[in-house]
Amino acid sequence: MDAFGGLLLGFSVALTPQNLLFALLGCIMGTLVGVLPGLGPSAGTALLIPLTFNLPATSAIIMLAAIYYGSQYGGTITSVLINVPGEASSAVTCIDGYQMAKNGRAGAAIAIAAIGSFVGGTIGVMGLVAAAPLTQFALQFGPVEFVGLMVLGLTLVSGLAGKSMVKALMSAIFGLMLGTVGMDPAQGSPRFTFDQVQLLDGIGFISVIMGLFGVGEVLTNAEEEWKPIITHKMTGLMPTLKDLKDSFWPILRGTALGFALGLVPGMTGSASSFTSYIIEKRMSKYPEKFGTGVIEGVAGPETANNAHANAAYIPLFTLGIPGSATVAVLMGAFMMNGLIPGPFLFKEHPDVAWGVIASMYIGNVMLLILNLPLVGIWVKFLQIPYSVLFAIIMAFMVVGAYSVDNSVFDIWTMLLFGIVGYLMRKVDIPLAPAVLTLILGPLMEKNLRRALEMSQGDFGIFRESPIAMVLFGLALLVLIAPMLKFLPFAKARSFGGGDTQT
Amino acid sequence: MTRVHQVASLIIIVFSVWVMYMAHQYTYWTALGPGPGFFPFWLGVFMAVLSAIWFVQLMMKPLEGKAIEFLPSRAGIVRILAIIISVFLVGLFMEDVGFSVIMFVFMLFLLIGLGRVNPVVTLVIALTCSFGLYWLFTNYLDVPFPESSIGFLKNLGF
Repeated sequence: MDAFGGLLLGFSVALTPQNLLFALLGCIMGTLVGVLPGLGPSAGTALLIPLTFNLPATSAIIMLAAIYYGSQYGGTITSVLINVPGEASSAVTCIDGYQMAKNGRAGAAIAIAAIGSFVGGTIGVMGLVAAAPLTQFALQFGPVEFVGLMVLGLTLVSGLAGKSMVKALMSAIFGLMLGTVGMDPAQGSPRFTFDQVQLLDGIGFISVIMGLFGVGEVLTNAEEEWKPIITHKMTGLMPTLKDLKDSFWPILRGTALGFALGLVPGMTGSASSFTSYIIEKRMSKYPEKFGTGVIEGVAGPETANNAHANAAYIPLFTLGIPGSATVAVLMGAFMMNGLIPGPFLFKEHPDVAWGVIASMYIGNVMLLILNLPLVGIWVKFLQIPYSVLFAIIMAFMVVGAYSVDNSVFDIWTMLLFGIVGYLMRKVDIPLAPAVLTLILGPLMEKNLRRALEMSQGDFGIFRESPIAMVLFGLALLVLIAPMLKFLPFAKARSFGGGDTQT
Repeated sequence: MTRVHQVASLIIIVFSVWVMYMAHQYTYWTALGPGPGFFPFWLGVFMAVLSAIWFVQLMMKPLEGKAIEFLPSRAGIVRILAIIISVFLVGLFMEDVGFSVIMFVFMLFLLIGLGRVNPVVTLVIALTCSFGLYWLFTNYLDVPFPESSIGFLKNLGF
């Protein structure tokens, strides 16, 4: 099936009343996740997985995907109005967006961010459609090539997450270790289960993610007194003609940049938005005004993070490699529904793959409509004090963890990983690599052992595959070459090092 | 602050050695190739090496600048411990007391005990997040939350 035929099939799936409803619900919940500080997209998506248990696979994935890209829209609102990013990739928007709010131009900032996000998001989805034929290439991959691909994915994730590669690699290996708990993927013998029946199927990834990101965040916030949130008044929602003119090129540059960086596994949404900000400042005729409420400082980064969020689905759909923690959560949701993301998804379940892609077009339109007129309603949610919000988040996390297997064991697992996540934050170990490798670990081990079984234990099999050698070579390059420091996004890495969520 | 990070790296080294030891209990190699112990063993090795590198990095270049304190304020520690213990107790008592009752008590504790939230608001949120969620999940999402095994609570339908 060609891409156009696939997309038509996708729209026929996505436009059913049921799937439209779930896309809308996902957009609303995603915007809310983005709006509410203290609940990032990874924890937010994991938290809402239990709501999809009774849904058909396509509807479930459509809703969860919408939560992710919806959160990118929502994060802007808090950045502009209260100078607190709802999620990490909107942090840079605080610089000029908040100043615009102080100058009485909050409405224009939010509107231009919504328009930019729509353009970036929609073009990102078009890229996903264009990339679909890549799956034909990926179908040639055997266990040897998959090991190479996963090693490259892991090194990219570790090389680009956080400020220290050593710590990011430690986080990645921690995730791989967690992935070894349970029945071993080749022989089925139990490992690290300590006679606990609940661990035979492995550690529940939903509990781990909710613990690391959700409970860990609540514990971190509990260190400080919870202060009431002060918001600026919304005035003048529509941007002026000059605003639109000034934002035109930043939106186009943000789209290209976010899309390109979103393709790279491990590159965070904050890297895209911060790099976009740096580029806009460098290209501006009045760089000295950046930081005083310049609309280009909002348009570029907000476009970039949405293009990034949509492009991040490309490695997942074409190769089965999640590019970020939130996409890894989505990959877990695919697997819970008996679907394996990657080239075979287009072959075996084209309705699901294309249905989800088509729903993203629709979702981006929904978000544009939701964000502009309903911004006043989102602001109301900001007035919920954190002392109330944290309790509601905790209740949903307890419910979410229990619902996975109807077991209190998962509540304790979540709690344990909440403490681990809190401690990892304290010593600056990024969380995202651990989540990615927790999902990928069993697949990686399975393919590694299958490859070595094919060669009867001879590691030389990896040298015989040119594709695998190229992938290993690239992985080595990422590990040893500090040359990335010369690229513009290396600066963004130091800004966005704390982005553990995306 | 540097000392805290060094202690963390040493704890991770100990953990890695434990992983290697545990992996050693499983078959390392079979006639077909790697066994169940192969992958975790090497993960333990890599983790130990990385932790050692981190330790050495800290020795060579101690953390600079105004690093945040590792331990929060006394009030912060109390709040953190209260959240941890309360979630643990929810898990411990959920199957005996029942989902609705334990969640109601949990929410009262979080909202009034920690959040100092207005009692009326607390009551509304606590009822929604306990009995409301029970109703939603059992009726519409097919998640059978535990009911109380305590006589009088069970008779009341909790």
